Amino acid sequence: MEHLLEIARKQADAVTVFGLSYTVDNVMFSNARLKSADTYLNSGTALTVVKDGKQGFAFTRNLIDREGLVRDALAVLAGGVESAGGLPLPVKLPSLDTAAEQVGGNVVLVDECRRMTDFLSSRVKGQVNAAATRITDDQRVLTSTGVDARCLSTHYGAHAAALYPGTNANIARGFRAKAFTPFPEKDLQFIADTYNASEKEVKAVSGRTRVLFLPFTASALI
Amino acid sequence: MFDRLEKMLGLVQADYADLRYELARETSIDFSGRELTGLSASSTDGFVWRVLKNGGWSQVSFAKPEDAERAARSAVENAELLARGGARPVRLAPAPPTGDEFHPKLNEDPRPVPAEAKLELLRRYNSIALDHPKVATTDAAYWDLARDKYFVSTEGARLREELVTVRINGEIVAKEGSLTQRVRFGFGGSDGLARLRGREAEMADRVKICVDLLGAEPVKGGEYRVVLDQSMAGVFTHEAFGHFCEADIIEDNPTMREKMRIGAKLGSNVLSITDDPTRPDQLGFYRYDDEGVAARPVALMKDGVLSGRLHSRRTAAEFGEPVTGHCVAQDYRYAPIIRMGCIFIEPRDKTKEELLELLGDGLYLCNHMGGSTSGENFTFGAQFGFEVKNGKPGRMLRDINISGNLYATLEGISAAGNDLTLSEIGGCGKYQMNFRSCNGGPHVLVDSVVVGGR
Repeated sequence: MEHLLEIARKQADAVTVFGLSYTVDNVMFSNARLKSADTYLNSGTALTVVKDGKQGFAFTRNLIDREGLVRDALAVLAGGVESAGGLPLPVKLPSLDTAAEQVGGNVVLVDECRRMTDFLSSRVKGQVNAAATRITDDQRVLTSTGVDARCLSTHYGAHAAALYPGTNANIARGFRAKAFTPFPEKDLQFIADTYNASEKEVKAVSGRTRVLFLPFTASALI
Repeated sequence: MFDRLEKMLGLVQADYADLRYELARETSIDFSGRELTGLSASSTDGFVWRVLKNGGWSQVSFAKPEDAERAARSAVENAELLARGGARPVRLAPAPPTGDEFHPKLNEDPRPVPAEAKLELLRRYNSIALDHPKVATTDAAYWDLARDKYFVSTEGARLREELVTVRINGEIVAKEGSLTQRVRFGFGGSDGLARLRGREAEMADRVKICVDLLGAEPVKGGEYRVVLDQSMAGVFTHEAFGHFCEADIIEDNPTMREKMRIGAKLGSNVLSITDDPTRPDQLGFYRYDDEGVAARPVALMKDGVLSGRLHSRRTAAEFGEPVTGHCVAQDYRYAPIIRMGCIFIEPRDKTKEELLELLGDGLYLCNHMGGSTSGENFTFGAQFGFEVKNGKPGRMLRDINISGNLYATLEGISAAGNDLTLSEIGGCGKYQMNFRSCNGGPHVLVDSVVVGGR
């Protein structure tokens, strides 16, 4: 990234380089059975250049051709996008590291999804799905004014659902945390209780009716 | 590149492995009203491993060539985990490994055209809208993407295919007093930049519709017989029916598998639906999918009877059905999944006027605008419509949303027109985006649709 900044600053008034790399582990259970375990190793670099008050932008995943990336960003200056303000002045920023330790591989996620589907399968008759995802990311910003800021972080998310027969309609709950944390049992119980309570299906008749929106469905109304 | 990829293939000890490398070049331009808010031209790339070992099937995407070994190790570990973790053992349906290189014939390649020329093209269309005194603002975007894909497998496949997509799209906002109306516009395709030129008259039509909507009346809610235009018919076909023809959507849902059984009578006798990515000069065109299988047309419904399904090699083996070449990735960041290529209702013999005559009294609904499906139920918007009396379109209507049940609607399509039109703008968001997902149909007559409104 430093090398890219050096190349770009020779040809522009101001330069920002943003780099991101992240790893994603993802496990999915479908119909209470392990379905997939995938991994993504991703990275990307974005370059913004400012010259004569105009702004150019380009990005790439592989920082192989730094000159090419600078050329791309400079080429779009001709479009005349106005630069919005100047770059931040350098301040000594501590590296922000909020990453939690990510122990184990996809095995941990498989065990957790199995626990979730076992819980639900023993309580509902419908199809049960679960998924868990773990992300580790590393972001860094360099500017030609001397800013060098870095942020390391981790994320964990899980999702469980009970599906109604013959449809993809479902009762579901999601959960997010910084690092692997067991899915709250109260949310699994909510899925089971709500699903079971809805077994006596009422077929709605088309037409006008008064409707009560529960909190989780209010977004549809809004 | 092939030699490099085949060398990487040697890193994997598995029953099967494939590796896809993709280099993408993209230009993107955005206006908000007359303000240019974004312009970028970028080039980027990445790899995707897929590995089958002991029945475990795993995929890993990675960006840097130096990560190839680590990614291969992860893919094998994940496959082994799936094999011993109780996942249903995966088999791949046979598909003859192919060695081929395909470059589309383009009517003007967008890549050598400078960004300034693309900017001027977009600015011209945007001005057609903004010059109208009742147009308050617009959002307008130009986008082109050239993907150069390489695919190798341990079975000996060695494929290269280029896909080039161009698009201009956006939204026109007209305003009068406190009333605001919005209409979308869009042109695009996979056959070159020339497709975006000379569309000024169509842009002017879109502006007129948007301004006319300021004088339209809100539709009255109720149950109607309707004629859907090609855009509405296409989106219904894609969203409400097409996704259930994707084998991965229903494979783990026993009741849906039973409902979507080949041979099941699901639609009216006039309804035939096909997905054909190989149809030339349409948005969804491709020759090979992203697991190296040659694409072919699939008759999904024939005269109301379910007759086919869209597959990957994995689901084709699972269902015991032939491969179709419909396993497609958004780009270099993703492993491929089953996608529609170009799904459409087959045309019949009626003209639009004959359909309106058959309709008698009802609604003529035009141009889809958003929507969603929940299981077998759907809700879609129409950008505008017309009240039809005695087969003649009359008053223009606005604020139209239709909803219904997929199966009841398939049975309720009682006539289809002869004027098949395919969409030029795609955008299916099933797990990943697919900007080349094309849909369409002729005008169709539906016997009962619930229309929301006042």
